[in-house]
Amino acid sequence: MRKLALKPGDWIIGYGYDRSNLVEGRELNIDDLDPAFPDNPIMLIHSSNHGAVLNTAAFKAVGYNENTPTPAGGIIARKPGTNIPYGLIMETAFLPILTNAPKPSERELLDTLDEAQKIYTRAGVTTVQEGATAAKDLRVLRKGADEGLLYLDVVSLPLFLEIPELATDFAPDFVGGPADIPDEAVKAFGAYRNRLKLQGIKFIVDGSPQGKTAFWTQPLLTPGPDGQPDWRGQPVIPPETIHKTMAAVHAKGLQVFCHANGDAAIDLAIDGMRATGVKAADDRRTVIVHSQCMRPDQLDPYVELGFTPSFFAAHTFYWGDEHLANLGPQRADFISPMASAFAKGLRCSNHTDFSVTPMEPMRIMWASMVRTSKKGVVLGADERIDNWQALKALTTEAAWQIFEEKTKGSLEVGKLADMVILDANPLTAAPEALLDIAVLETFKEGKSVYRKEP
Amino acid sequence: MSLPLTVIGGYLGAGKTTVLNHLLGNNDGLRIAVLVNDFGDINIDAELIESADGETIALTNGCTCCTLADGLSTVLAELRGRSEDFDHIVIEASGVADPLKIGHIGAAFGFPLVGVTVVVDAETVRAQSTDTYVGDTVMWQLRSADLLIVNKRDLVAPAELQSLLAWLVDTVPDTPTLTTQGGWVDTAILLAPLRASETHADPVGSHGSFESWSFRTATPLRRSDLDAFLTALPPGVVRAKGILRLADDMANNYLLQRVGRRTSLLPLNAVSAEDPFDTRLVVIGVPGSIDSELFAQWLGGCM
Repeated sequence: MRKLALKPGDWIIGYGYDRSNLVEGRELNIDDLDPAFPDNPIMLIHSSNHGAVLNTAAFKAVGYNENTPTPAGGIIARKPGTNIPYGLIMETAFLPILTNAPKPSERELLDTLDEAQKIYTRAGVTTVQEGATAAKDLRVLRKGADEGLLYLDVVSLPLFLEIPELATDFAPDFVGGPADIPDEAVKAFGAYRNRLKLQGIKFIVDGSPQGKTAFWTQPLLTPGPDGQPDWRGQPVIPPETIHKTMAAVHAKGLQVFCHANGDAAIDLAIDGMRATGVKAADDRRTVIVHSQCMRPDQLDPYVELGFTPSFFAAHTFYWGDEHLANLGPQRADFISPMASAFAKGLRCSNHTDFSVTPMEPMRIMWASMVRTSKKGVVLGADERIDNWQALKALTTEAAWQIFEEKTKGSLEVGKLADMVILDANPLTAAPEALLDIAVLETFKEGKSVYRKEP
Repeated sequence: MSLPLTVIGGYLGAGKTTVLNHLLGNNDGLRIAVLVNDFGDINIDAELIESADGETIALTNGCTCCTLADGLSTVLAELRGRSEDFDHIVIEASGVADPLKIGHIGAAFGFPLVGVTVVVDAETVRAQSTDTYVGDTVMWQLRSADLLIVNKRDLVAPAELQSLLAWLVDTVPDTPTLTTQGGWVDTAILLAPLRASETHADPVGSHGSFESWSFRTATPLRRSDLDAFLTALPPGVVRAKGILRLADDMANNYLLQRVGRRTSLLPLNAVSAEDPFDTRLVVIGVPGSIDSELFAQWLGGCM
């Protein structure tokens, strides 16, 4: 607070709060926060973005007190034995507060780009994927690029429902829906401009498995997010809309990235792309982002259609215990099945969904090799991969997925000198030792962009 | 008074937008703020358009149609500052949304939810309800409905329509249902609060193809008796609306809105000396659902 010169009453807003990442395993509350933050409202936004923990100063600022009723569809945790808001608020109790919270200006956002890139350079990352870009956020990124503020490569995937708004930035007279992406906008894809590249269109089919908003063919063993029995989630967009837009985007030659977590969502992506007539030989590299709860029988269609999964194997650590309870051992063991995918000859990357999970590449690598939950339960020992495969999934395969294998992913003559110096060899380290490996220095095209303080 | 909120839900293609088009063009004097996902199928008579920019179309009849491109919560927060400009908010839920959840979000922004209306396509809803991808979604939408509108009834044979209605009664019992075609629903039925012209000397009247019953009394009603009366109404009653005096709170007039199976009772204004000391209530239902003698007996017994 001293470093940021905060005055009493200034807001402090944190992101990525999650009870399951606390040693205590319980929600933070006003008794934890108030002693440290007596005069500043503080809001710790949950990693789901559906809730937050507030301190007393924040409750006062937003007008919540013991007389505030809990709104339908919302949660206001109360201090035991009282009606005093205790910290956590969720859903409809949180949404108006999030909406009315102070928003950074475009300039303030641009001013954070340096600090944001440092998060990646410290971790040894030189190419960053912005995996779901809204049109107005893309405007900020383009402006930042044009002002020369990017020193890492940023790959942006505009959201498919944002195509109409995005299109007007390239074709001012554009009128139409997501399936009508104009050629002027299509031409903006595929090449870096001032370190920013539009690579493809991002489709979203479902939500998250830990939020129980993914879309499965079989019900969960536990009730849905609102206590629904036999809950298997739902698609977040009508399948007709997804399929129509997918066909149009594919026909325009753009790469399709599709967020699909549950096996029904994956079926939907398979149906949509199969209808375009695409085959693996076409080399379109359709990326199924997350592919977490895929079924074994879905690997063959991936091969046939030239899909490439971007797995999220660190889920086995962060939410492995929850997945086991919700999905049962058979389905939980097949989460992010990297060994099976490699065995089928699929090329696959492994990502962190930062800021849902931290920017820790060695943690991602480790998780794909041990697949062990926080409680120490192994999810699918058969799906563990070795050091070499685990590293490839963060480097060569990730570069290939965005058509940059000629310039990135490995150290070869003629490729960019995007390099990281680690203090130990991740190819020979035992899995547990990976977590101790430190980044000593990071280079972007030969230029040092991070150096660990001695 | 807070702006009342109605959510129109239903799966893609059911006809939500045509319902909204009719509301915007036949607003019955209400200044309606209609929030839609996009302008794609919104079709407003050019003569009605006063002004338009990227996200908003203002109509000469006082209505406004606005897209949710900036997000529902952002638009709702903006509307909070414009409550004086409108009489009613209508949100079009997306084709896969649970409209009740949308209603809860609206309520969280201070707009009381008076009705969740779900539009279904008479031709396709039964097949959709068992579809691999959207079956669960369509079923949750049906369960969330306070009032069901079976649209496109002209596209199915009469026997098929009867069978669909019977299926709906089995599937979502006690949810009042009306049928229509071309998305036509009378704004007075769907949204408008009670007007003086709707109460008449003769208690039995009509509202387009509906029957109505109006009731007037100088004796204040007890809240519990009113609730019992409303609960006892048969499912053919699709709507009730009134301006009431309640024995429980004689200081205020109350506005009653009952849409399908949802009742909202909100303070309208403080009772003043000039107010006629009475309660006015209109009940609207499909033909055959109105039993004026029984209703009068029920309400009479309340006093």
